[in-house]
Amino acid sequence: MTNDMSRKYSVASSPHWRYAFTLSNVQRLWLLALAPAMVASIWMYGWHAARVMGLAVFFAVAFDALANRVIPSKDSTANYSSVTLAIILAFMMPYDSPWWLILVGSFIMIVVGKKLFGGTGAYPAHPAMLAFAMLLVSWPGRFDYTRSLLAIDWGTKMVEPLRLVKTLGGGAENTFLWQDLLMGHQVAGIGNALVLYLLIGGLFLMLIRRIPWQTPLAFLLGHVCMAWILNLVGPGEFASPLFYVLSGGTVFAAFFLATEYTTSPVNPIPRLLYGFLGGLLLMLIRAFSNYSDGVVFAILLINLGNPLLDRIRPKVWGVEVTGNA
Amino acid sequence: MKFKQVLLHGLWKDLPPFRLVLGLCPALAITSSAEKGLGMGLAATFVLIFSNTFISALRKSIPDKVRIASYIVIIATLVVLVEMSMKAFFFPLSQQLGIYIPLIVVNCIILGRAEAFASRNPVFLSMTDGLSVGIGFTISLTLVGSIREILGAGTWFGMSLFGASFEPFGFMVEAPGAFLCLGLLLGLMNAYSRKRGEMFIQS
Repeated sequence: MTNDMSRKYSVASSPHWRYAFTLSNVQRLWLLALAPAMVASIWMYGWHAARVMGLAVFFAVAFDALANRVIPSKDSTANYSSVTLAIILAFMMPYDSPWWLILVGSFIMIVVGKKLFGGTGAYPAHPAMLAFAMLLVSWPGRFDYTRSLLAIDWGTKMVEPLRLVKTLGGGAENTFLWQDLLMGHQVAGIGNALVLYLLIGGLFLMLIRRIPWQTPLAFLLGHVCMAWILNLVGPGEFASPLFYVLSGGTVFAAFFLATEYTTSPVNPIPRLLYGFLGGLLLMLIRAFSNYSDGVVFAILLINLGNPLLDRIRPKVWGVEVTGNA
Repeated sequence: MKFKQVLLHGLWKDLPPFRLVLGLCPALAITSSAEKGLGMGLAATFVLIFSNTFISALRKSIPDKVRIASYIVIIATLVVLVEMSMKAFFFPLSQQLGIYIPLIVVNCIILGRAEAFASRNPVFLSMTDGLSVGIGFTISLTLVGSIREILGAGTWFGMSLFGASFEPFGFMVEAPGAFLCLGLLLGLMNAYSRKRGEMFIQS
């Protein structure tokens, strides 16, 4: 008895079982998934792409560290979340972004979008999307991808595919070869339209189950459904569903933006609804708004619907449902 | 002592719109430039001083049951005066402020001060209270307007501050920029007064 009493027992509260599923590990896996597109971007755009990504990462991490010094929080700079966000923001920036544009974008993303709400796990909208939306509203002229890529020629028509379809009608999709669109030979930000490389990264994350399969697939399904309906109604006005999936940031949005952990639902059925709604909204924005590629606004809109969708939850056994819980 | 307290409370303790969190509609809608903020603040200050004075003078003869209606009559009279004089003497500014000048009638700060202060205090103190809160409101609106105008347009009271190479942060003069600016200022003020140990944050 005395022997038992003298032995030290661990009295920590749960969870007792730990494994390497830490935030910094997950974020590093995301960076690994984004790596093919990063490499392809530097390969295609040269040192400009490296400059934009490097500056974004530098500013984002610096703001994160500064914000942590002013307002200490659990969300430490060492968890790589700022790096992932910075790469995602950089992917949507044009090839010739000036340094101050990236500086302002990183500030809004990290300080306003992330830290003011309490850091990773607490923000209501994707910080990179918030920052990009503010930049797009403030400096629309700087986000004219067509003008930014005048110096480059890949042997295809150097206009944003979605913009051409928007102005000339659905027939303009034949200007572009689907192989070119798939390989990322299309006018866009430095990384958001590298469809094949993003697909490789996204499928990698999905196969190692670091992102759920429901959100991206439902996103693509919603997009295809809406595009198909619109194409049936007005074939001259809208292009085919495949064209919409391959052009602009659809695949990027489905695999890397809609699946962001903090702003997406946690249960399977809400995930399906969330993704489907996102794809549908994206197609509606592309079809009926002034913006040719509305990825940012579609993602921000579904982010706002997330708390509502999270109320759809599995039934708890043995507990009687009362009221409107 | 009481007089000094009343004179200063509108500048920090009850600073509108940050501390009272009243009068947010003009604070968000018309602060896209410093000039508009100042104009709106001065118009509201004028109405506030005189509405407080008249309501305080009539506080014994206004029946309790119809007091809100009576206050509105007094405030509306003053607002019509302000609106007409602004149209006569400051026509461009009144064009810019538009509907927000007549809307001073339903500004919560004015009705709030009438109800909370002027209806139970003597005339001179009420006038001081109106002046104090009005000046606080003017300073706040001019501050929000200045921040938004400097960042969003690169000018201050119409003067160009930066060179031609400056590309203004247009988001700040749009409606969402007002929410961002007001929220950040409110947060900073709350953080500052928490540091000073003031108990005002209502839970």
